Amino acid sequence: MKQSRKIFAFLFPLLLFLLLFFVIAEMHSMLLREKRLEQQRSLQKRLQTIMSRIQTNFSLNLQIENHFSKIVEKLSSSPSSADVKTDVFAGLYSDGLPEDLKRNCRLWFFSGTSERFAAAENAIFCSNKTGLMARAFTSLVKLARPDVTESEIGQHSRFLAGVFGENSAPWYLASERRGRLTPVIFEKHQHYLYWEKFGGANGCTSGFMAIFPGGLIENDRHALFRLASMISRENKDLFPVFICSKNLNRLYPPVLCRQAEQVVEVWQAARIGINRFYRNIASLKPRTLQSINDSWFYYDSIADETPYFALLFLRKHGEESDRGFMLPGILVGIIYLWSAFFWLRLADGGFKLEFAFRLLFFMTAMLPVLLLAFFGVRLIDQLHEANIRTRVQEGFARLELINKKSEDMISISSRLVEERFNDNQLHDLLLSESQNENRQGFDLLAAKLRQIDVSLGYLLLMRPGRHSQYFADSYRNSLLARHHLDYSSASCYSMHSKLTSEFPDARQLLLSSGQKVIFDSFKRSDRQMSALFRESLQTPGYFGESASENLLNYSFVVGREDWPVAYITLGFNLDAAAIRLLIKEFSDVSISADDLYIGLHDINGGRKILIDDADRRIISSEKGRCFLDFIKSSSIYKYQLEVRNENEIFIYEPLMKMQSMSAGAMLGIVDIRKNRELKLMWLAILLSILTGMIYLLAAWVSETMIEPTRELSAVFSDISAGNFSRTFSYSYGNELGILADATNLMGIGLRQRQILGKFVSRTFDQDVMTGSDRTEAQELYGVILFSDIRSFTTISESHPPEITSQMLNNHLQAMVTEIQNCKGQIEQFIGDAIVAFFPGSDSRVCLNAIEAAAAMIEKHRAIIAERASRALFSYEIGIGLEYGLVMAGTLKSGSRSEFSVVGPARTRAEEYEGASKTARFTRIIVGEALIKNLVGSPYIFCRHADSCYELQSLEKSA
Amino acid sequence: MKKILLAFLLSIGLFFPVISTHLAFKNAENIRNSEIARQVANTLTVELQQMAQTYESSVWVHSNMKKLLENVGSKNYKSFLSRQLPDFVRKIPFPVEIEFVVIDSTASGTTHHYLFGTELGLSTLRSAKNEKRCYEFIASASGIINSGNRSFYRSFYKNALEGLLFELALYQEQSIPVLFRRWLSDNIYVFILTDQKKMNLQKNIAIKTRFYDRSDLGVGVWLENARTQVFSKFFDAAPALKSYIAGKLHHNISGSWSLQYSGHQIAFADYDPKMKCRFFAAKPLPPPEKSASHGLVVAILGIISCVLFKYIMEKFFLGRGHDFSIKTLLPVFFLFLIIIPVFAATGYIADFFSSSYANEKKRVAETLAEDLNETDLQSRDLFRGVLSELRFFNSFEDIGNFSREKYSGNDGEYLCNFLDRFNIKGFGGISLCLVPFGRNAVKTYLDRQFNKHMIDKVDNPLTSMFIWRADEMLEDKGLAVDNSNDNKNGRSLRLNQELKIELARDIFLKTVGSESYYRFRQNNDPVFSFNTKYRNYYYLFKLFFWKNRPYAYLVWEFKKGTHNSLFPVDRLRLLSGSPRLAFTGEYSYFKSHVYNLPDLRHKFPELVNVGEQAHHIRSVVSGVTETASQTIIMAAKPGNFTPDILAGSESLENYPAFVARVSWQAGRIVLLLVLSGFFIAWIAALYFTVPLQKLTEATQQIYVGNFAFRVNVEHPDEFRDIGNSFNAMARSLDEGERLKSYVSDSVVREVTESGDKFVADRTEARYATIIFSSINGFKEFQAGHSAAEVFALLQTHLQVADAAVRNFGGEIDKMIEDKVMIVFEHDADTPVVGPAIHIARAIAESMQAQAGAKISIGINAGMTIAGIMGAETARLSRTVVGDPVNLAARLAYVASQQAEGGIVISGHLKGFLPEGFTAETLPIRHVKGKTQEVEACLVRLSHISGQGSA
Repeated sequence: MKQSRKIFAFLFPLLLFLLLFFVIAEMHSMLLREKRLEQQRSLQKRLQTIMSRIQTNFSLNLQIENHFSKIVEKLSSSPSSADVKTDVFAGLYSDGLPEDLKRNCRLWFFSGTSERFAAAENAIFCSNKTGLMARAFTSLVKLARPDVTESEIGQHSRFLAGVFGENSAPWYLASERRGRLTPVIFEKHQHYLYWEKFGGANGCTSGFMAIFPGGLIENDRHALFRLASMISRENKDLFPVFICSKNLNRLYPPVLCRQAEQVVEVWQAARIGINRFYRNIASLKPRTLQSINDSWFYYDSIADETPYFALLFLRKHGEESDRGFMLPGILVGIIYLWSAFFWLRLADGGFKLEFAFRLLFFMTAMLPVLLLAFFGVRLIDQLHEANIRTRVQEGFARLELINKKSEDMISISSRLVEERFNDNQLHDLLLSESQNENRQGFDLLAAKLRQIDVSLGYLLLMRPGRHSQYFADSYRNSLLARHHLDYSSASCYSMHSKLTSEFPDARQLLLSSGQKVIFDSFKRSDRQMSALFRESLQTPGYFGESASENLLNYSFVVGREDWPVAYITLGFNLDAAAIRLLIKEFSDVSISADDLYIGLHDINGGRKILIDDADRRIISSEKGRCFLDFIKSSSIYKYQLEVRNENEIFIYEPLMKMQSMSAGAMLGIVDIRKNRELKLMWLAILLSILTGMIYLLAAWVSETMIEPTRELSAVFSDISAGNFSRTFSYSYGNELGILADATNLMGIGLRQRQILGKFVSRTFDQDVMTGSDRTEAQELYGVILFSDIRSFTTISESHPPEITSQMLNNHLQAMVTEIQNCKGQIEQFIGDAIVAFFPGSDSRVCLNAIEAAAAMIEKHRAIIAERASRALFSYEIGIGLEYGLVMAGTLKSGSRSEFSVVGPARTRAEEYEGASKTARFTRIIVGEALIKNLVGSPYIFCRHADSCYELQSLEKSA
Repeated sequence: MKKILLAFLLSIGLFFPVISTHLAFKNAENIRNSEIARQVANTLTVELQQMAQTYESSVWVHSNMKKLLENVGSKNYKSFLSRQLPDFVRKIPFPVEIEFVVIDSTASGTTHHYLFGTELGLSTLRSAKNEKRCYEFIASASGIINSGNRSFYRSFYKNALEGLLFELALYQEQSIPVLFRRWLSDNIYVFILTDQKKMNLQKNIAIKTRFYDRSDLGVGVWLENARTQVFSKFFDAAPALKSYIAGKLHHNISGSWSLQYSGHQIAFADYDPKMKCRFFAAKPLPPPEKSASHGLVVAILGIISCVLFKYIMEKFFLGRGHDFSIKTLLPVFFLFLIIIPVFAATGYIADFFSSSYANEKKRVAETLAEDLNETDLQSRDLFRGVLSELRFFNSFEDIGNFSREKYSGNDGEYLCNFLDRFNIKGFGGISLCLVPFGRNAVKTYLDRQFNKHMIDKVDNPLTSMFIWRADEMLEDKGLAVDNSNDNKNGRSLRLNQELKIELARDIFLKTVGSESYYRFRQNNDPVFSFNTKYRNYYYLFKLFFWKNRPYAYLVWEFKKGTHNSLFPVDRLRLLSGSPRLAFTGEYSYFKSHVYNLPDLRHKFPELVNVGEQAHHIRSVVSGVTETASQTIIMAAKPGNFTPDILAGSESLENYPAFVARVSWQAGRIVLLLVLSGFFIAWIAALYFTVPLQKLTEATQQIYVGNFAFRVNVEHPDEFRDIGNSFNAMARSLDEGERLKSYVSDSVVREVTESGDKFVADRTEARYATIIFSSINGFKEFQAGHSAAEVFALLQTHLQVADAAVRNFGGEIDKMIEDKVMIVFEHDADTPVVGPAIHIARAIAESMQAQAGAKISIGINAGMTIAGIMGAETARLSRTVVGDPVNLAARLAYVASQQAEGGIVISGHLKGFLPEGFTAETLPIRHVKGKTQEVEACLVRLSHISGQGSA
């Protein structure tokens, strides 16, 4: 029980520390957990990005197209884009295309006017067949021109068909396959052609053609192998594995890159992962981060075109595993330190209360401060997150709004088109028998539509009793129109004949042979056939493969006298309007903030056109390129995407309502981040102010409440040391106040005790102090000294008491001092008499006593002399000394006790003193017993009376 | 200065809780209000967006008509027709014509036509030109009714009407689409025609706006052409708002903006250049609710703070007021320190709640969207899985392995059997086309009517495209089929073919599009989709082998969108917390995957609505509903890889519940913190105050005289020193107390009274009566007895004297050997002889009785010097000195000279003897040390004579 405070003082800070420690540890682990989750999320994003890269690069033609498009992009962003130099291109080409592809690539570079191109010569360009290829390139360029004439088409198509095979579809090769790798028959074998031209709109000045062997391009496994090697080269901790389901293994063996085995732990995880994949694919969730054997695993299928799955294995970075080890270490360390500190302090006279309390206060009050800090950080994080999410959502909302607007645009435009179409004059022109007037009708409609941002591509006119006709604004559209017309005619034919089946005299549409073929091919499903036309009556829509053409179709039935006299289908293009809309929207939102909105128009399935505002400043920066890469790689993705960087967020939205358009935004979050940092700083300031305040208050409290204990301690030690004037002042009426009062009272008591002590013989003082109530007497050997003033009675009679007492006090004072100097104890004052005792039985004690007596006499003489000088009366003293056994003891009686020393020695000493009246020399009479006990005394004694001697001289004999 | 700083800190600490609580409440209120305002603004924005959408009339009719018709049956249709429908028709913002065809269920089978709305052409149907056909229909229909086959009649009638209407539409100058057709019951058929074309866009908008029928929300539109505003009915009740908005609209401000006016949130949409109008909407804001607890809590805290402030400041600067014990103060102070950060946190709590809830909500919404996307992706995975399975079949041998049937040479039947067996997971839309080189192509497809695979010989130009392609490919791969046998007429055949192929290529290319065309031209098994308005197919081309020789081109063709089995149905679930549903259907046809739609409507009405909406507009639709304790976030979106609508909802606790839960959690932590802090403080205070208390207790013990009390000194801190000092003091005090008995009472009195002043030098002349009592023959006794015996005798003497003093007064001054000196001090010169004699007698008698010792007593009185004498620093003595004392001692000696001892008094005291005593003058004139003559008288008891001398 007695040690309990020590134990407590030792354990309590430890407990408090543990509490603090666990609170901190808990917060820390919570933050860590969140951080880990965040890491996993970013890891998943990273893997997703890699996956989308795989999905956009899984075949060699995609890879090559990407390489070339990068080269082309670099060329077009370089200042000399109008006139590309051969060596510039050669440099870019040799840098931009990987070695293995370059080996298999035959490339010709051409420059010249738009009429005639010549192959440039360079070591890395192909030098064979330059003439033929130059001609082919010229043909391609010419075919691609918008103002190409029909005869030119025939001429150039025939030439290209000769070079690249009948099935190469030269017109499409020129118009749609620029910048795409296209299969052609070249030198009687399957090859792939890539061509591109550079230069202004009016006359292009240069371009190139690249031809790759078909066997290389079509080798999908090789493409995957290249991809895998590339990815694992760029990401040291990751490698992809391409495998199929197990039963396809025979046809499509797994693809692994060579680097795979180098990362041993990942390789082992991969083996397990592959086995699991083969065993039960259902147990592995696609597109989620999974942990296999200390590695991350992520998989997805690649594309419809390939049976392969891409399995990504990523090495886990061994983080925070050693943290668990550190915690007990810190704990043990702290416990050791504390113990050492505690015991050292304890040995060093104790542990400062004030310090302890300051610590205690501070630690306890820091507990909520820590919680506040934690809470504050969480709050700031949450706000940060909320702000970011809000910004992202706003970004998405804008993009969605754009998406929605585009849909509105379609339906509004169709309505507006319809309004323009409902015009009798127009109908008359279109229904006229004259082809010219029909054409005028078309032009009139086109002009009307141009006012509302709609470009009329073609118009199909199908009238019962006549061959169907088409009108187009360009050759390109006329091809589409012709194609559409064939189907539309067949459809209208089927519908019209059904409608008029009851009316035998009704006229039918006339079909051309091609249209008949189509009608025959599809007549089995004639419901669909008629639906083709019927459905475009209700809603605007696309004909044919959605990606290839961007002409919206909208159909009307023109009736006269309740008979349908014409079926009309319009093909109009809203792309210009849509792009204008996007540009407007983007520039609207982009002007204000750092945010950048751009769109991507995906034409013909692979080529991408960037839609942005005129300012390409951001796009050409590093950040902008990152963003573009993101948008491009995301464009195969059909969902919203979001990638967070430090300073900006990239978001991607597939504009599903717009055909083949997608959009993305780069949202700056620097302000949000700054805001967060500012808030964190404020929090830190708040916390430090709070901490300071807590410290100050804690210090104050310990000063007012704890500090006084130190003073108390000082007061106590002072008082117990005898300094009774020291009092403890404390102004408050609490425990300390009470104690202060009590202490002060005790001080008074102690003073009394000290004074009282002086009334009692020192011999017995010891007994009192030890508290032993000894009643039986003690027998002690020693010397009793008895001194008296001669004729004190007479003196006191003849002098006033004040004088007498003053004399007496002076005398006693002087004598006591002398006795005490010689180690004697004052036993008693009997009036003017002094009884002193020198305890001990050896001669030294006797000598002391004699010395004391001699000193007393000397002192007395000095006093007398002094008194004489002041004309005061003189007095004589006598001293008796005897050695012997005395009985000393305490006599007790109720409230009154008394010390007493009795014994023959005392009596004799008194007698000797009485005898000193007759002394001749020094008036010091010494008993015989003392003389006997005195060995080798320097004093000389002479015999005085029976059994007593007188000290002959005060001087010691030499 | 320090005091002011501290006072400042303290007052900050004191008023901090009040302020921060107030701010927290304010903040929470603001957040709540802004949340409400935001919700209202959101509603308005959504409403405005919906307004701005050119309303697809079909969607409008579908969603409204369906609701309207839900309860119409064959019994109550008449009241419906007479009341609800006319009203409904009036609201439709575009011309419609609605026909109810009610077929008399009685045998006659006559039909009644009820027409509503504008005349759009249904009557034309009955015009002379078409009368014949119409009646033919009806007649034939009636005939079938009579034959009793009602269901066949129904389908017939339906088809006939449909066809009729379609044709009717074509007869019109402008097309009139059928919006709605449906059998309500066995005998009621409804269809609705519409004509939006005649409507001017702006008029349409105006009507739609005017008939907007939400009572809690008003919308309006400003029309540029008409230069006027149209307000919905809502505004009729608020003319002030109306004029305010009208005033605002005159300014041609671009962009959308929103503002608040007289308790309404008003939102203006951007000017719509296409429609040439500007929409706006207004919604009354709910009155901001003021929580009653706010004021109360703040007031209570404020009062507490003020009281504390007053107390502390008074104490601090004026030193007034009650002092609390440290035991209470320390914990209170601790609490104070703990509470400051806690209250600092409360200021942020509302922000914390709102932001974390917003994050939570967004996270849930994102999770939901991701989950729906994942479902979509899984349907893609399933499809890719099917593709992979198909890729497996590379040759007849592969097929043979699968179907356990040897290839017999009959392509069609073989494939038919294969497909019947294969029939992957009921993947119905699959058909297989085999294009062998040099033979007729065959195609197998599933006939749905008989659920059997049929064989079709294909001989159209498209197949020759495949063959040419195959030739090219085989040649390139060096696998060309050796057709040298056909060399003779091969060339002509080839030429003939080439023409056909030219055409076929053109058709093929245009049909599939250039992208697919070029993909088809790749030599590895190409896959491509073929999406057009009228065809939505997916193709997988494979070079097909037999006996390791290329034998044919195999084309897997499957129709996308007709298959149901490729949906990952295991992802659908009906858990009430997070249901996942998928809806499928065509334009006006809507049903649920796996689950029964009416049940779903019953169970998840909102979610089905959202799904239906998404189904109609083919776009992402999301919604949020609040229940008593939950917020349900719903989303529906058309799949990218599946034709279905994916819908799902996730529920999370709603904001109040979230706040309640989190604040309960946080409250627990804070409570725990405060309590544990308080506990710690209490313990710490105890740590400090317990020793203090012990000390105080000890001092009090000492104060009441218990000097033996000691405190525990086993402390690790200052209390050890304090305890040691204290114990030392207590010991001293104890000694002092003991010492008191060793000195005479007057000493004690002197010392106690003297206070701080020095005790010595206090001598005065006083009258005193002195008694000396000595034991007769002490010296002899001493010589013959042991110390103990001697002391026992002395002890007895003292005790006896003490007892006598107590009885009769006076005090024992000291003991000198065997002599006890007793002093009576008195002011007057009147000796206290009486008590002295009694004391002497008592001593003598008691000693005689107790120890058998004879006592000699001398009594004298006179002027003495009384006071403290001795060495001031070392040794003091309080005594009386002077002649009377010496005389008393001599008298005692004189008494001892008498044989029996006795009491000898000084002569001048004779006259003071009490009754019963007589004094006998002794013949002694001189006493030792005395110059004057002394008269000594022996005192005897008078009535018992001889006693004194006995």
